[in-house]
Amino acid sequence: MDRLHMSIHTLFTESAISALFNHQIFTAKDFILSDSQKLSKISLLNFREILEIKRQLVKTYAAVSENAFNSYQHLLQHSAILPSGIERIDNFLGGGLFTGNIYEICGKACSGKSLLAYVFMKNVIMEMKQNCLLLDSKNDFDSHKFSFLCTEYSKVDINCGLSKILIKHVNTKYDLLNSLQEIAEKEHTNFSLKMIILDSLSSIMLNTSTHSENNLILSHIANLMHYISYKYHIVFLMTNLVITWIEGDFKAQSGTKNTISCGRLWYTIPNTRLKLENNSSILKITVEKSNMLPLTSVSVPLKELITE
Amino acid sequence: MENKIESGVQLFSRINSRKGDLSNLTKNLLGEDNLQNMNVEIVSDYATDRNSLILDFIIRCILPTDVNPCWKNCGVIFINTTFQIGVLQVIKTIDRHLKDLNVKHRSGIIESSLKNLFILNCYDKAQLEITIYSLEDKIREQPNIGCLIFDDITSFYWIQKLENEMLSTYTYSLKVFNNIVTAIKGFNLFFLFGRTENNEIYHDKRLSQNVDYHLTLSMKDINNYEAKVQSYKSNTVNVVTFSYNNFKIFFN
Repeated sequence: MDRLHMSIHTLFTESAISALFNHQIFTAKDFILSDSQKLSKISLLNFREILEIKRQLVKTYAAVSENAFNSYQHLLQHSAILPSGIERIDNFLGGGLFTGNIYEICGKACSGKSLLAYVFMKNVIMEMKQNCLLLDSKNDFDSHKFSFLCTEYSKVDINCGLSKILIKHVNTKYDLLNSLQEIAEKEHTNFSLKMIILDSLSSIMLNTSTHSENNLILSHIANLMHYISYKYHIVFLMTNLVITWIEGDFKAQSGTKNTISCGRLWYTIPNTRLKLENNSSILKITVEKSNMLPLTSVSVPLKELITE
Repeated sequence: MENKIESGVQLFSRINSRKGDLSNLTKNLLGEDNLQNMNVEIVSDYATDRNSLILDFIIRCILPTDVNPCWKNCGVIFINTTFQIGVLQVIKTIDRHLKDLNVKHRSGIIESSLKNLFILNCYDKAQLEITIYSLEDKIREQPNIGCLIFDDITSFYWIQKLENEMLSTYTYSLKVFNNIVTAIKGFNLFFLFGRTENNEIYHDKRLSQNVDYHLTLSMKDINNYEAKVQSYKSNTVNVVTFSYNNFKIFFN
C-alpha cells in the first residue's frame, strides 16, 4: 500500500502529510479507514476536502468491480493456451496451459519436474516465438543442456530461441519476493512475457526459520503470482518437491505420507497441480488438484519429451 | 461511510427494491427458507475444496428463473481472493446445467447470467479492507444485487498475523465478518462465505451470533463430499452428501 505523498492527491500539502505521519497515519489505507473528523483536525483540511480525498483514494485502491460478461470478453481477446508440443500431454491438459493460471509440477527428486517445465518453455520460445522468464533458484539452468531438447532446430533458430529466455537467479525467498514485485510493477512494456517458470519453489522455501514467517512470505508470493498471471495473462509454472512425512514420533512411527513441501497453506494456492512419477522411462502425470481439469492420469514415454 | 438520513418510506422502498425471493435456492442444503438477510458460512480445512460448492451457489443465483424456478436471476457480488473460481469455470458450470435441461440457445442465457455477476479481485489485505469499506457504494450502484459471496474470509490471515503474533484464524475471521456485515446491513442480502479452519476442534464452532447456517465440509474421497449443516434458526443439524463431477454438483 502506497505511503501518503503529495502526488497522491492535489489537496495534500506538505504540512498536512507531516501532521498525519505524526499521528501514525502513513498509508492510503490508514487515511481511508480513519475517522474523517479526526483527520480534519489533524491535517487542518476541511471536512469536505477530507471526504473528497477519501473518495479519490477509494477509487484508486479498492478492487474494481468487474462484470463477469466484460471479463469474459476481455479473456477472449487476451488469453492464450500454451501447448507443450507433445500431443499426449496437450490432449491430457485440454490443449495446454491456460494463461492467467498458476500451475505447479510436483514430484519426488529426479522425477522429471524441471524437464517437463523446460519442455513447455521450449515450445513457448521456439514455436510460439514468445518470451519466457526463468526464475532459477537452483542456479542450474544450462543453455547447452537445454539445446539438447531442441535437436530438431538449426543452430541459428536455437540461438534465436535462447534469446527469448530471460533468466533471473533467485537465491532467497526475499529475492523471489523482490523479483515478483518488480514484475508486478513494471508491466512488461519492454519485454512482453507469456510464461514465467520458477524452478524450484522448494529450494528457497525449505530452509526456513519460523512457521509464521514462512506462511507470511508464501502469502505474499501467492498474491503476487495471482496478480501477475491474471493481470498480464501469463502462465505461472513452478516446480515443487513432494516430501515424505513420517507420522508418529521417534519411538513409534505409525506410517509415512507423501505431501507437498511448503506446508498446508501452499496446498491451495496453484490452480492446477500436476504430480509426476518417473517409472523406468515412463513419466506418469496425475492431476492432483485443478479447477478446470478432471483428476486423472496419463503416462508418457520419456523419450517423447526429449526427442520430439 | 457517510451518515445518511432517510424516511421510513425511503427505507421501505430501498429494502424492497432488492431481490425479494431467495427461497429454495439449495433445497438439499438450506431447505426452503428465504435466504435474504441470512449469513451462511462454509468451514473446511485446507485440503477440502469448497470452491465447487461456492460456484454452485453463484450460478444458482445468477441463472434465470424462467428456465428453472430454483434459479434466482439476481445480481451477485463475488469477492475473489484465492483465484480458484474464474469466469471460465462459471461458464462451463452454467453450460453443463443448461445442457442437462436440454436448453437451446444457451449462449444467450450464459451472456445474460454473466451480466448478473460482479467480481471484486483482491490481491492483498489492504485492498480487501478498502474494498469492504467501499462495499456499501458498490452494492448501491447495482439495484439487482441480492447476494454477496466471499471465497475465503481467512485469505490474508498470515499477513495480519505479522502485526499481532497471538491472532487466531477465528479472531481474524470474526473481525472481517463483522466489518462486512456492518457494510451490508440494510441491503437485505444473502451473505455466503468460506472459512478455512485447520483445527478440527473448531470446525463446528459458529463464527458469530449473526451466522444463520454453519456448513462443515469434509471430503470423503475424490469428488465426494459431506456437509454437516447446522441451522441456528430451526436448531437442526442435517448431514448432506454430494459429489462433484464435470462441473456439476449431485446431491445424494
